[in-house]
Amino acid sequence: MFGFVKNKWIYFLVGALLAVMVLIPFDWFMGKYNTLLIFIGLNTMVTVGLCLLMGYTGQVSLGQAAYYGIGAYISAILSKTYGVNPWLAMLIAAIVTGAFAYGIGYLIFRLKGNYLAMATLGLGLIIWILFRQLSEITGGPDGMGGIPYLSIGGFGFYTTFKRYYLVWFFCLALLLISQNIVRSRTGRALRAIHGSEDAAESIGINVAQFKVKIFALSAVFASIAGSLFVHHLRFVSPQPFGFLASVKLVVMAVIGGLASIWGAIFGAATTNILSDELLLGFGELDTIVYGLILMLVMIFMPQGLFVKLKEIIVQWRSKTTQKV
Amino acid sequence: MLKVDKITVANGRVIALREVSIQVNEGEIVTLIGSNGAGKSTMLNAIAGFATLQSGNIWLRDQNINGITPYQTVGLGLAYVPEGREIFGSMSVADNLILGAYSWCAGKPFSTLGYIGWFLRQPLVQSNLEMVFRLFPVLKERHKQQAGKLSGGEQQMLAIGRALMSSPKIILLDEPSLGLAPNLVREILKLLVKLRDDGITILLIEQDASAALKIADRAYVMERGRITVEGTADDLLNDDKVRQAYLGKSIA
Repeated sequence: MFGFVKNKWIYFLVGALLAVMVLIPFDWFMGKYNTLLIFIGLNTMVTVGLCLLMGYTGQVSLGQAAYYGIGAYISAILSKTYGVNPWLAMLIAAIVTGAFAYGIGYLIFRLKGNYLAMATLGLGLIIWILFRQLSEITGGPDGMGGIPYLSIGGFGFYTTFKRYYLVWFFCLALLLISQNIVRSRTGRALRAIHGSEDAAESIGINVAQFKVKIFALSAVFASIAGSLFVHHLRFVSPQPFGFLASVKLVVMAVIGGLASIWGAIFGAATTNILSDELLLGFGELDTIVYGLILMLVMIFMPQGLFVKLKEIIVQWRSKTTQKV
Repeated sequence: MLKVDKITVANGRVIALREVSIQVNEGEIVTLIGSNGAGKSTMLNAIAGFATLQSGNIWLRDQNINGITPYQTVGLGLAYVPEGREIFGSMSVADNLILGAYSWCAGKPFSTLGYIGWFLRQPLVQSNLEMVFRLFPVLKERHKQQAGKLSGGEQQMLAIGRALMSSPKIILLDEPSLGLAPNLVREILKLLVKLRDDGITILLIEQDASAALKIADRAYVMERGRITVEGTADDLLNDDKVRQAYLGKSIA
């Protein structure tokens, strides 16, 4: 799981981490941070999709928050306005978002580099404007409330305590799926595309189709997170799905390391703690801080903060073993 | 095996190939020689599907492959080793090779189905991997190393090995000797002869015309998008004009 521990301690470490994660939401531990942790989980889901797209396939998306938003709005509208079962709404949202991204991807992935970034950015803005302007369906800039909670049979996820487990269950599932994709033959193909598209094509990889598929997959991840988001807050407005939100998602992916699945948690956690706890006084100006972080990370540790820390630990470990 | 029939290809406004025809028979090494900009690389690009044809036809074993995409040509048994090697530097040598078998596996039933596919794929990939390791023992020694850290010659071997992983019938090689020391060049050319003897057809572009002609069966000389001379390698080696222009020897 973490490249630097290749022995039996890994099981101990993973077990300990899981135990901590199970215990976190209890009041006597870190219960007051449940809301923050739920948002970290949601952002991790979107970020890991972005990592697959940007870090492994090498394609840029500056509109990822829009797919987060599409998932959120479809879930909200179906479950509130039309009374559809929230789980079914979530599934429909994921399918629709995925299909939409597949269609869009088919058109825009003819573009490369900066042009692709511009196209995804433009698309994100268009979708965001639709959320605001289609006020009869979406509630406009004021948003819509009264969205039902998720529940299984008679068991409803009515408290943040319960929703913490729900969100992190999905989050870990998506992380494991991503891990599997990256380690598989598909992952190798993705890294090949990142390495050189022509070379990838010349060994028989259908580059165009791969890009579109991964784009659709990242949109599905974002959509699932969006659905969980509205069933958590019971309220949705266009505000969290704008351009700045997309940039923030890129910051998360970059901090965690674009080509690092588990770094996504780290990136999402750092960014969320910054915005929810440390940068509260900055108000709208916090964007400046994100821009600054993005620049500094890109200049000094382009492989990502998380990956950099991992390397430092490996170096430190090899030094200590040499001494003994 | 491969028949290129009067193709015209333009790179932007410049016409790179004008109604060029070549033919490569099964079990032959055919080489294209000519100066920079003569259209040799464009020819390979066109065959592999990277360049669009304006007119003409390309036939691979009686199948018309005009307008086919590059990833599809691999499935038809045509492997392409582009100029500058284009290996995946950040991946291990073994990963590079396994990727070479990508499309070959895709053609086998059920072999792309997740974990089931892995079991079906593994023995096939393994046998090809061993074949490549027999040809290039150095790659076996370094199979865990990052490919970008190999020397130039090793990278070239890796590029050829990766192409062989797809069990091709014909290989297109674009300047495999580029930037290599002379003894390495000889080694690689010797290997191509060995591959030909194993039944693989080879279309080769080579700057070092005399070295290429020594191993080739037939050759074409290209000049400004046209074929000017063609014939068996021996004929060309003894052709005065060719000797003067490409072999750097004065007329005896």
